[in-house]
Amino acid sequence: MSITNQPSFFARPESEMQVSNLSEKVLKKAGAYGVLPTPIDEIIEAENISNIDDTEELEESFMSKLTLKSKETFKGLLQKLRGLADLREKAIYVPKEDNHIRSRFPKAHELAHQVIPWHNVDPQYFDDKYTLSPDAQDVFEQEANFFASEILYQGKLFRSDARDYKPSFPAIFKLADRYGTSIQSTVWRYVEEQDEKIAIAQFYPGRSIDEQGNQVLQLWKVVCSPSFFKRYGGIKIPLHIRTGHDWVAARDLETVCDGNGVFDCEGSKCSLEWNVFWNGYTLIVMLRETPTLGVIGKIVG
Amino acid sequence: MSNKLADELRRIRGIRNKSLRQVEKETGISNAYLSQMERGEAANPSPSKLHALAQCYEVPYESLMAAAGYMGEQPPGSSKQTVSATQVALMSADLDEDEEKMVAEYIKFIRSQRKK
Repeated sequence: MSITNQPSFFARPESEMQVSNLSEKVLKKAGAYGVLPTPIDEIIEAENISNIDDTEELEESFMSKLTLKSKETFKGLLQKLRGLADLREKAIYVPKEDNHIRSRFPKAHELAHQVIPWHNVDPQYFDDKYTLSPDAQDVFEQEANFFASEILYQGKLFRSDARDYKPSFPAIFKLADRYGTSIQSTVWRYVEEQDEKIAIAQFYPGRSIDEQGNQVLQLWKVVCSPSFFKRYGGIKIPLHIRTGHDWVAARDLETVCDGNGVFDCEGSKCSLEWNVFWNGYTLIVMLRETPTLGVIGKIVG
Repeated sequence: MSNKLADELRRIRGIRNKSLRQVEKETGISNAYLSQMERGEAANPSPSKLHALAQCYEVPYESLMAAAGYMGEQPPGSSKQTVSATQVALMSADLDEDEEKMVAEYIKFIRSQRKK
C-alpha cells in the first residue's frame, strides 16, 4: 500500500530573521560564535540563567510527597517532558541523558524561551485568568525549535558546510560529529539547507510483526528541500515496509544501503538515488535526483 | 484577524499621534502590513510583531496578545497557577489537564527547594 505524500517543508517561523539575529547575538555574547560543537552550557551561563541538568534528586523528592495515583501521573509526565523553562525564576531544567548529545537540543530550546523577548507573556497581567492559546503556544514552540537549531548549527556556518558536501550519510555523520548533534536532527537541517532536490522519508517500527518476526516499519513523515518540492510536488512512498524490502536491509544488516529506483512523483516517473540509514530506532531514507556530471560537491571519504 | 486588535491598533496609534511610516521605521513592520492590521485584514499577526508594536506604542504587550486572540480564558475549575508557574514546557503537546497541573506543582516545588 502506498500513498502520494505531499512532502512538508521545514517551515520556518515568520519571525525567522529576528530569531536568527538573536541567536547570533547570544552566540557572540558568550564568545561561542564559530566554536563547535556549540558550548551550550557556557551560553546559558552567559545569559545568567540557572541550568539545572540533574533533576533526578528533585524528581524523587517531589515524588515522595505524592499519592500513589499522582505518582503515576508524574511518571507519565516525565516520559513526555524533555525540559522545562521557568521564566520567572530564569531557570531551565533538562533531565540528564545518558547520551549528552540528546540533552543539547532541549537546553537550547529552553534557552530560546528565556531569551526571545515576546515569549515572556506575564500572566499576572490578567490576574492569571487567561492562558496562552494553543495557536500562541505553537508559534512559541516553532520559534524555540528554530532558535535551538540556529544555536547548535550556528546558522550560516552550517549552511556553508552543508553545501560543501555531497549529499550522503557519511557526510551527515561528519557534520553531526562536528556540530555535536544527533544524526536525525542533522539530516533534517542538512536537507533544509540544500539547493539540491532531496527528500527524506522517515519510518518507525510499528506494532505489526512480519513473517520473519521483525517489526514492520511505518512511514512517519516525508520532508523535502524546496527545490525538490518545486520540481516534483509529491512522491509516492510506501506506508509500510517489511523485511525483504531493499530499504529495510539497512536495519536488518545494520549498514548504510543505497540504490536507485523509479518513483511516482505526482503521476510522472522519476529516477532517484536512495540512501538508507538505521539509527537504532528509526529508518531514514534520503532520496535525491540521480546525480549528473553537473553536480559538484566535496566527496567525503 | 480579530477586529478587536484592529480597533485597538488604530486607537493607540491615534493617541500616540504616529504615522504609519513612523511606526514602520520604529518596528520594521511594513506600512502596508500595518495598514492591513488596522483594517483587520492581516491574517494572524505574529506575537513578535505585536511585541514590536507594544514597545513602539508603549502599551502592555499582553493587552495586544489578548486583543489578537492569543490569550484564552482559563476553563472553570482549571488550575490558575498553570501559566504563571510553568509558562513553557518543551514538547508538552498532549499534556492532559492533570499533567499540566502536575507541571505547575512540580515547578512550585522546585522553586521552594531552590530557596532553601
